[in-house]
Amino acid sequence: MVKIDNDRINNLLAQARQGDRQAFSEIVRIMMNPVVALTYKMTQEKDSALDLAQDTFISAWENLDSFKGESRFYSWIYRIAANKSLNYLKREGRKVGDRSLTEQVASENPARELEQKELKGRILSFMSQLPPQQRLVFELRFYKQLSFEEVAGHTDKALGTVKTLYREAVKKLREVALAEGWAQ
Amino acid sequence: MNCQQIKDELMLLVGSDQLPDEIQKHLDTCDDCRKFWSELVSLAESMGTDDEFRLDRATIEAAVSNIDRRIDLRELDRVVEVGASWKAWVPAAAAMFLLVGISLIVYMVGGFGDRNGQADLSPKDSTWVIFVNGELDALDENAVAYILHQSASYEMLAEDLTDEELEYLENNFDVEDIL
Ligand SMILES: [Zn+2]
Repeated sequence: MVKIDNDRINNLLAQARQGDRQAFSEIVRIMMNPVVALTYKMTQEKDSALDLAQDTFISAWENLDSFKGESRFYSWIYRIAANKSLNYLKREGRKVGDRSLTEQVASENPARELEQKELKGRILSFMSQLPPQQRLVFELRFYKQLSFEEVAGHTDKALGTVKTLYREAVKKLREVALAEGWAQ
Repeated sequence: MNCQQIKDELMLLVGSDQLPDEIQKHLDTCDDCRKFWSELVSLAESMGTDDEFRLDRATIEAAVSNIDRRIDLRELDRVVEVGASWKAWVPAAAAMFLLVGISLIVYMVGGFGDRNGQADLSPKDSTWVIFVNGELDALDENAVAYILHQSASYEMLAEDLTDEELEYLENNFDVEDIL
């Protein structure tokens, strides 16, 4: 799903670390979509997602020295983006909706023949109601295809905790899917 | 593994292409778990991919220049901080800014490029041109912060800001917050 040319990134990175701003801009061009996808799925707000993505790259520039190369660069960037998104949600005081996901589905239009596209949109909006930590873990594992170990490293959580969060997310999404009637 | 343990594992495998042998073998013989897995596969297929969140080129380019400009501002801060105790005059700068506004910008566009012999760390020209044209919407917080940092060194031109412009600035930028 995420196709990022690591060699190219590493070359640009080496130049950026020498202070080459153009090389850094090129990294931004390559990484902007994956990063904004993450911040968007976390916030579900286009403007905030773009702002957070930009903040992410500025922090990355300022902390390039602290990237030691022990993880892949893009996963290091995701970590920054994830922290920014979580802080944003915390600042905004965003809470999980009071009603359960299935209740919401039940109370909405029960039409069964939804367009596939529309369905995706709805799943994403349901995703925004997962607790932020579950949402983040799901995003990093499912969409960014990071390993559970990497996700644990990025979220400063134990491996077992990360797996539990992922399971919880899947469980809730499956409930929604079943209620919608599109998972046989 | 019993069925519950298999299901626990299956939930972790959502998004993976391959099932471990042990689990595959169980699915081959257990209708319930197989049904559970096929639901999860449907779920995964409906979750889409990151590709659905693509920004167009123009938006990316705008973001790239914005990031570039904000990095400029931050590096400028560092230069100024090292070179002078700018914090001492920042409150005055804030007041000045609201009074001086547009006129100051016109002046600055005219030439702060090599102020004190420093390298030109100014934001991209387009920002200033837009501001000079009176389209204040285009000016973001960072540009305002930049101007605040600049303004105390220019003691002049206090007349040209209209009430409307003043009101706009006060409503749209939290000067204290920027400081
Ligand atoms: Zn079974």
